[in-house]
Formats: sequence, C-alpha cells, structure tokens
Amino acid sequence: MSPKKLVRKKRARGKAEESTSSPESKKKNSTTMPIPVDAIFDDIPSDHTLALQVTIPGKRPFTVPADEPELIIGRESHCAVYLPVENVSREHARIIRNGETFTLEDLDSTNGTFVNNVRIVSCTLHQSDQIRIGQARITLVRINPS
Amino acid sequence: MTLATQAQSDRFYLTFWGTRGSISTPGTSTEKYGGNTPCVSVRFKNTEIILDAGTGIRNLGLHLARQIAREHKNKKLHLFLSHTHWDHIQGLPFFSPAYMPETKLAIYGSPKKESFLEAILSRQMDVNYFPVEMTALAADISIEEINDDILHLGDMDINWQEQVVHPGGSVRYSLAAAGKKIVYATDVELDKIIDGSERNDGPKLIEEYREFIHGADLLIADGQYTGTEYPDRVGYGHTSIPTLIGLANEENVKQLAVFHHDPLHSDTMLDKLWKNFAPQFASQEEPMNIFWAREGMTIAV
Repeated sequence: MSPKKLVRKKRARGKAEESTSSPESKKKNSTTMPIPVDAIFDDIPSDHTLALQVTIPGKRPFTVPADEPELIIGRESHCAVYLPVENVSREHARIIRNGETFTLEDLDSTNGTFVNNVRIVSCTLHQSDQIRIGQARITLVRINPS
Repeated sequence: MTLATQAQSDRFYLTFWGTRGSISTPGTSTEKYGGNTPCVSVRFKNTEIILDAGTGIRNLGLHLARQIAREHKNKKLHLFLSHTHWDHIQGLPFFSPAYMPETKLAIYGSPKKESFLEAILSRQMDVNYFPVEMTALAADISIEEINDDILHLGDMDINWQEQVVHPGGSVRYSLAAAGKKIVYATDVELDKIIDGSERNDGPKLIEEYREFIHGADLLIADGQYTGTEYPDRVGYGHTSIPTLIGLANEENVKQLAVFHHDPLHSDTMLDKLWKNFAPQFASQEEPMNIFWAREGMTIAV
C-alpha cells in the first residue's frame, strides 16, 4: 500500500467521525429508547465492604464488618470478634486492614490459627478462605451496604 | 509476632513471597496463590535465609529494607539459588537491600556452575537488559559455590544435593535445626526418574531423593503439572502432583507445600486440586497436611 493511499484513508475516516460525533446527529440516528444514565450509576455499588462471617457450633451465625484498621479475635468480651468457645485464647488473633489488603495474624495463641487447614503465623486473606480458631469458623465475605 | 520473639523461639519462620513457576503471572485469576516466581524466606533465630530470587524477592526486599531503615543495623542475608533459570533469579536486580550499604549478601549456588554463577548473575544486569550494573550495587555481595557437604549458619545446618533431571540442573536444600527439617526441592522431574526409560541411574537418583526428604517437617516441592497434563510436558523438568504426593507420603513427610505452580493454573483450579488431594492424606493414620503454597503466608515449623 502506498503512503498516499494511507493518508487518503485516514482523511476519509476523519470525515466519517465528524459527521456522527455531534450529539444532535446521534439523537437522529438512534433507534433505541433513551437510557437514564444517572440510574445506571446509582445501580453500580461503589461502597463495597468486607465482613467476617462467623459460625460457632450451636449458635446463630453472625457477621462483623471488617471496616476497622485492626480487629482482635478472642475469648475476651472486648474483642471485636468475640468467640466464647473452647480452645480460643483471650486475644487469639487479629486482622489488620491495609487499604484493601487484609492480613490475619496469630497472637501466639495456644491452639493456633488455621487458614484452610494450615496453621499460620500470618496470612494475607482472600474471600472464601476458611479461618479456623478453636471450634469457630470465620470467612471473609463481601457485602454491599443497603 | 515481633522479630525479637521469633529470635527467641526454637522454630523456623518461613514466608512464601513467590510460588509461581516459569514466568510471573499477575492477574485476577492468580491473586490468591500469587503470580510472583519463586522466593521463600526462612528465619531461625537470627539467621536469615532466602531460597531463590524470583520476582517474589522484590516484595521481600521492600519488607527487609523497611526493617533495615527502622533498626539502623547491618543485615546479613544468605541467598541460596536452586539454579539460574530466569524465574529463579529475575527478581535480584529489584531486591532493595542489594542497594543498601548496610546489607551483607552471600549468594550460594551449585558448584557445577564453577565460576559461572557470578558471570550469569552479572550478565542479567548487563546494560542491554537492565539499567544498573551489578558492580553498582552498594551492598557487600559475595558469590559462593557450595563445596562443603553441610554448611553451618548460626544454629542451622544446610545440606544440599544436585538434582540432575531438570534442563541445566538444579540443587535441592534441606535446612535443619532444633530437631526440625525443612526441604526445598523445586525444579526436578521426578516422573522421568521413576519412568527410567532414558536413564540407567534412575533407581539411585530416586533413592537419594527419598532419603533427602524422609521425615521432613515441611517439604516445599515442585508439583507443577496435574497427572493429566504431565504426558504432554515430558522433558520440561517438572514433576506431576500425584507422583510428588505419593513419594512424600511414603517418606513420612509431615507437611507438603506444593510449589512452582503452572502459569496456566488459576486460583480456582489450585483450590480444586487442594480439595481433591488434601482430605484423604489429612485423615490417614499418620496425617500429611498438603497445601498449595501461596504468597503472603507465613508459617512456623
């Protein structure tokens, strides 16, 4: 292909763009119903929140929002994730939030902190990871605030 | 857990910084297990060892650089290379402590490379590949081929063995202290040794491997391919998962970290492999805990 031809092609494309780029011409050519753009933006959730879904045998499951820089998990009632069950140390583990990264750290617990059956010292968490502390099971889940 | 607490303990502390094989594989499908190529840090008391310098060493470097800046102390690090294929050395030019005068970095590799190890590492920092030459690094760097049978670093004994069934060869290491043993044996094609069709020394080599991993408290080992994939990858230098698990179980390994994940294996696939293999070995009479190594995980042994 000669350079001359290439230039001509570009010009032709440029013209075509000019003819359809104005909002007026688009309106004329459109055959579909107008879409209310604001509603689309409203429908897309931008405020995702992660939460810890906690399951303790014989008790009703509960959820703790993971929106603090640090969440302590343990048997003491002041713990953000309070686990009044056997084999859980007073302050057993903590979850540290750094932006969108959540790291689970064992706090030298007696019986250990497990992620997907691996006893960890610390571990970056991902959704659907199963944290096991004593008899409790904890999962990091995404929730959309209503 | 603070470093001071770790230094008092009689346990190894081990972190995975890169677990992917062959090429770094960032992306949404590899976030969980990670896309960085091999790098594992191991600490026992005050001795700090790094296994391989794949792209994962960059994040380890950032972590260590913060420590060095905070503590205002010199840092002695020992880097053991399994071999010098790209995925095991490519992170070294991005290792921040190598640019800090407070760092003393000893790099160990196979004596089979003879004087080539230094040349190989500096060549990847040739101006045609990288803007900073190796001679410009501010750290005190020594490159050593291992000659002794067993190295003693602090309270740690480091044993090593050549793994010949990988293109270009590779080395496996075992770290022992306080009655515990960790084995790092990546980049070896065990299936090919067992098959024996191309080598006469197969039985000897597999026996050596068995002895080396026997009774390990943690084995970090090459399990790149599924049993279905392996027949199409013969000669690539990597082991199939069923072969690795079978040998580890027969040699009473207590915990197995499957390592050097294939770049095509997504998080979902690795999760499925774990679910397929792990339960039966976790519930047997002498349990073996199997997991797929993942970036950002620290465990104590």
